[in-house]
Amino acid sequence: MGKYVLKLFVTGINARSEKAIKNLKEICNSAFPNEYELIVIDVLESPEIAEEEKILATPTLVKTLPLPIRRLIGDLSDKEKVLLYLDINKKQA
Amino acid sequence: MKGKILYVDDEADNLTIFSKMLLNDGYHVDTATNSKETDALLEKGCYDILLLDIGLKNESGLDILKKVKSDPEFKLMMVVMITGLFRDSDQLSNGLESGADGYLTRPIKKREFLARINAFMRHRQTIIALEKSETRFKKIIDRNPDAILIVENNGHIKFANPAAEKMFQLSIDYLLNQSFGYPLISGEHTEINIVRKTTDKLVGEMRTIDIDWDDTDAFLTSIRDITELKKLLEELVLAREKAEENDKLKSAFLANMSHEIRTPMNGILGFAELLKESELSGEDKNQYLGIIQDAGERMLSIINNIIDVSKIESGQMEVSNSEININDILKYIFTFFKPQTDSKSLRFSYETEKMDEEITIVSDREKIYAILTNLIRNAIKFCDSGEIKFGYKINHPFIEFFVADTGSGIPKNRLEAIFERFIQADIENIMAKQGSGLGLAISKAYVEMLGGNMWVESTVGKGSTFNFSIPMKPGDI
Repeated sequence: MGKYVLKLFVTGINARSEKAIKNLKEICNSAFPNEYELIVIDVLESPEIAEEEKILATPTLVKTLPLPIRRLIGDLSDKEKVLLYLDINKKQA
Repeated sequence: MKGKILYVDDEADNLTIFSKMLLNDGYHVDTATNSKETDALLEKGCYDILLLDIGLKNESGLDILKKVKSDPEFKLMMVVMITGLFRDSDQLSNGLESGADGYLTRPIKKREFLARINAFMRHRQTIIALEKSETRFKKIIDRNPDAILIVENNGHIKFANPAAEKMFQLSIDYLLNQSFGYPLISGEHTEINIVRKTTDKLVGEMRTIDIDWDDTDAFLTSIRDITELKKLLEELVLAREKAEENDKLKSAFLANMSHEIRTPMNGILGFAELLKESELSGEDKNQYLGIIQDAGERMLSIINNIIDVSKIESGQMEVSNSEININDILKYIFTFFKPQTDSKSLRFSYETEKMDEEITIVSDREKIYAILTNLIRNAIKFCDSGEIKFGYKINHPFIEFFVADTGSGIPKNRLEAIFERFIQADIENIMAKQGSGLGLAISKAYVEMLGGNMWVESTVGKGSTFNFSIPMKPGDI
């Protein structure tokens, strides 16, 4: 458990943020089920965390573990590109 | 004219010979022999080329050069040094290092001299064209209302325009090298929320394309503020839902009204038929006539309500203000309803706060009367035991009326809906349900026309208190 640590920053709960969460869960469940920890952070509720992480816009996905830290912004609907950028090789999982 | 040249040389022969060559080749030439004359000419205007004898006597040509090169006004003027054959290498190096654009060595053949001057002119033209183009493109980027970012593969911002500064409420200097994130879009564009310090939240439409930036792969990302557009769309969706809802309510209302009108109508027709029977007793006849009259009144009331609603909806309902004594109205209403409350064995009372002669307000008598009548009629309808009280309190500059009953009360989730047109709170009490369901909506609309508002406090099983507050004079709000 917890091999991948992912933080997803969203602004409030709305269609946009729900879509991002759904997309990300689908990606994680198919690429490395049960091997990830996903933390969803609402910048409206936790502005201090957003400021600390210097989040400029949402949805922003930050992969904190394993290193290197990767950060991407967008709707997370292109599964292949997301995995590629996060530097996640399916075979590792 | 091919261009303007200022030629500075302290040897008269040189000045004459080279000036003539340039003049003949189509240049405008001014000449100076020392720095004072040079300054005076430069004061008057700019030149394309400053042709400068580096070895001026008494004063160094180098000083003129440095002065000119430090002045941004002469940024686009090319400075060409002229030096002798046995030139001083240090002097030449100093000149080039101080910003001279090139040099010529005398003696020089006429053709080479002109060719070199022409080459400098061409070079200058290129620089000007580049400068102009740079200014134009910079203007396009700077003035673009969309935020433009150059984002490297690692997510770091390498360029941001002023619109980005405004959007993120962060300076361009701060934004540079901040991590924006790798922009990932599957289609043409995606919506993002901008995180900023102020509470107004922006929605941006982000587009991104690959770009080569300083020989590295990067993204050109543009973000358009679509906050207003989104708001408008949401409002449109809400308006459409509301319109659809209204449409449904109207249809339901029509069906309901047809039923409401048909029931008393059936009564009228049925009892009218019975009245034709010849062997009816006088008592029966009177009873039937009473039923017909009640049914007719109920129909009239329903039809009046429908007419009022359509008048309110089409804006034809007018307010007609006059001086009214509130205590008189209360007394009249009390007398009017007393028989009805007596017949249901309800306690019925009203409260006034002021003496009769002190309570004159300016408002619409008919509307206040209609609102109170409607509220009390409802109270009687929904109240089977206990009491009904009504009255007012002065809350300057408003007068607050209340009608309180110990009736069935209204469930919390219905409290707002009861003021909507065509809706009744209680659907269990069949007898009470008779009526158009328009009374409260009309009352509320009247209160609003009089510049006030209406609200209700209610506990199921304990009763309801309807309140409305209106200005004591039309202008007093």
